[in-house]
Amino acid sequence: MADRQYHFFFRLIKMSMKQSYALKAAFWLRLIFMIVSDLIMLIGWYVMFQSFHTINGWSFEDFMFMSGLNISTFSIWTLFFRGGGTYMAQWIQNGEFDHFLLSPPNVLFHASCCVSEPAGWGDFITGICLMAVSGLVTFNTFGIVLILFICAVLCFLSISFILTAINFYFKNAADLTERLFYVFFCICGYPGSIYTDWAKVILITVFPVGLISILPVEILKNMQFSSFVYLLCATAVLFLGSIFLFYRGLRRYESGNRTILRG
Amino acid sequence: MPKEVILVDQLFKSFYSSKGWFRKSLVKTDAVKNLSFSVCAGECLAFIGPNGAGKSTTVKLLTSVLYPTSGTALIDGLNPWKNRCALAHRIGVVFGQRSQLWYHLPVCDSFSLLAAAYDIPDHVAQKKWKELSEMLNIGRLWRMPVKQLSLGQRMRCEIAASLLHSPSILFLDEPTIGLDVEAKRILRDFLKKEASENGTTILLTSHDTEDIEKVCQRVLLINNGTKMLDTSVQRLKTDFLSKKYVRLIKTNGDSVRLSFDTHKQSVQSFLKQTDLNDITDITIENPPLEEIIRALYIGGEAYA
Amino acid sequence: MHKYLALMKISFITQKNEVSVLCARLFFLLLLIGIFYQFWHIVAQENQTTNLINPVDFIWYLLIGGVLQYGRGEGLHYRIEQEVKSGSIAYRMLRPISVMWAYFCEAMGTFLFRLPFFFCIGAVFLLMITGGKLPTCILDLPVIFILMLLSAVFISLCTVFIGLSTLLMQDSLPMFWFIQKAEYILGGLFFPLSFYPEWLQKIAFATPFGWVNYGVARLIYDYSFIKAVDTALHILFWIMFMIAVNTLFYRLLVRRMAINGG
Repeated sequence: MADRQYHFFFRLIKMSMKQSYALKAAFWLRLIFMIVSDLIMLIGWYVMFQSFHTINGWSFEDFMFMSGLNISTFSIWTLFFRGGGTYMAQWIQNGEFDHFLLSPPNVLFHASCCVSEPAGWGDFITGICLMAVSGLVTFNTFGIVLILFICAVLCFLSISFILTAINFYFKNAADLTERLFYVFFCICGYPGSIYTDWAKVILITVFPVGLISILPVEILKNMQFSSFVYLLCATAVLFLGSIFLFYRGLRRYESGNRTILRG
Repeated sequence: MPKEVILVDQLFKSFYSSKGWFRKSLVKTDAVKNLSFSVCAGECLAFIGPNGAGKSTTVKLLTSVLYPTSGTALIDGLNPWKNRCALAHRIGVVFGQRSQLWYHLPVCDSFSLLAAAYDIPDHVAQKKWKELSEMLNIGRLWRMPVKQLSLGQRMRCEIAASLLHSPSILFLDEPTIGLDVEAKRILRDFLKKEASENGTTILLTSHDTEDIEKVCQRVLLINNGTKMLDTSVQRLKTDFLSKKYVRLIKTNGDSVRLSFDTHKQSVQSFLKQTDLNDITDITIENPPLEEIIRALYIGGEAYA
Repeated sequence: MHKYLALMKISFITQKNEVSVLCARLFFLLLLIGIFYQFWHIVAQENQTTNLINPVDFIWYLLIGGVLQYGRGEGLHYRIEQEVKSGSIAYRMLRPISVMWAYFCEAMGTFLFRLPFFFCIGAVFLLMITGGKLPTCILDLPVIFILMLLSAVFISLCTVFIGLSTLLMQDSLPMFWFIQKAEYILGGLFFPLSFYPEWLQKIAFATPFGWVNYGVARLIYDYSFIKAVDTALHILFWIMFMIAVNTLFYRLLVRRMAINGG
């Protein structure tokens, strides 16, 4: 049964990509624009670090690693799980979620995987390159980086699920979902060292953005075992919690009557 | 006595909406109120009622899209809200206004995905598609992107998609909406055949009385979320046909159309007061089903 | 002209009804200023050389940049994208009104409501956190405000441009992100352009963003009449440029529409 599900999701992801590549010229243009816009941001930070060297203990290399991790995590989401978050929020708000409830595969992942944004490849390439040149990824740390990356992806997905689930509990909250996503990106974009201790505690507990930006860098820099264990546990709790929250909310789903085409 | 495949008992579904900015008060709307009915295997049931009567909500409740406020339902022996996945394998659902096909991609891609979703091996799915495409006359659409299909073609593909996993129960929510006469005919013939040959149970909601007349044997009228009437299509016609249309053709070729209500006037008195001189031909017609249903909608409570 | 004013008025009035959206935008604006301020604070503590701008001036600088960022209506570019994609823009063309200018008026109406609103509440917030200290050039605020309105015109045109870019890319999002990030860096929203190396400053001033965002915001701590006029002239030039580009795109759109039938 399980391998059947994998088979379905493999086909689903392949199809959502195919759907987004239907417009080939647009795909390349988007890819290039995405890389360029990432680079613009990086130049800004480069200039910044050139003037000040470190920001509260973080060097440009640390920052590069953090950005690389964020961008590549984000790209995994845009490439494979883009349906989660803003799209799903819209579907729930407009009562367009019926199709996923009517077919056998897992509702949450079915809806998440059915949209893919090809521009994500641009982010993916940039992210991986940034991590590679940051100097923090060596032969010895490769294993840990891989685990950190998986945790980051899981955390990001969990947050997208939670932000989606809000729409079951509040009406017309799709806009709120989008805004919270934006705040989330915004906080992720700064070196973790600029936040005060209190803010950091909040960012790795209540508003767990820090799990994909602050904590991974600190773990890699200081090789703290306790932080690593915390990250693993927090990721597990967050992931399971978000799925629970989603399915609890699903019971409150109200269907709608709009005319819908997929695509 | 055939097996009952749909069993609905005291089903309730309420929606809540909040009003006001500061002192919010919850407004409760009952979309489905105390609904109970059952459908036997192989039966075709039409679900009718005016807009906002709760038809679609009921279909959504029975197909596990919505979670009920209270009440129970068993679809093919399964609780839809606890066995969503198992139920999905046994039912097929078509919502006239929603598409399960991928807009930019060819029809075959959507079908291969559906085959994977329902754990159907590709060769079995291919065989089933061939079978369905012959009946629905959509064989040549296999490689065409969905966006290039006409509404009628798309709807036939939707139905084929819903039947790919050979469900034993088929739910259709306004399947003929917006279709032309020919497309409607193909669809109705197909549904009828599907029910009689494969024993598929069909539950259909529609505003088109011909859908009901051509496909279904039984009608369930609901209004304001409650059941108003549950009868066979045949009985609906005989029981509620008090109005008669009489067409008289005169010798000079003119025709006169008269109508009378058998509840208010006896046939005898009607004939007495009608001038039957110079009449060469007479036809007596029952009103169309549409008119009966309209009368039921307007005076719904009277028949409850 | 009258009908365009009516359009602007409608989108202005709509803002009043979207209280929750306004509150959310305001909250994020203040949060962003908070994060930036915190960031600047840390940098200033570590590096004595950065004491070129005092914290009060800096936070007001952030407010002006932030208001220009958050004052714009959200989602207009997305709506244009959807209309171009679905072809429903063709129905809009049936009306005796230029669709391009209609979009612009919509964007501008939103701006005209939000600009003073956000600025006033933001100013109160700043006064609260700085203990009532005023920025150096507070008396020149009216001139700065007029320049902000000019910037708003440019930004509204830019929003329409992002929406129309759907023509090239089938999607407006890449252009949106590109312009947003360019604005961040080249517009000095990140930190003032005066800290940039010369080559980057030159690039920034060669683009509209150096003038529209940084050019206006810097006046709060570095005002002179000449600088204000210079900024205004540059913004006007870029407004003209943007009008030309948009007109070109719009013509292209109309032509394609005729070929594809929407």
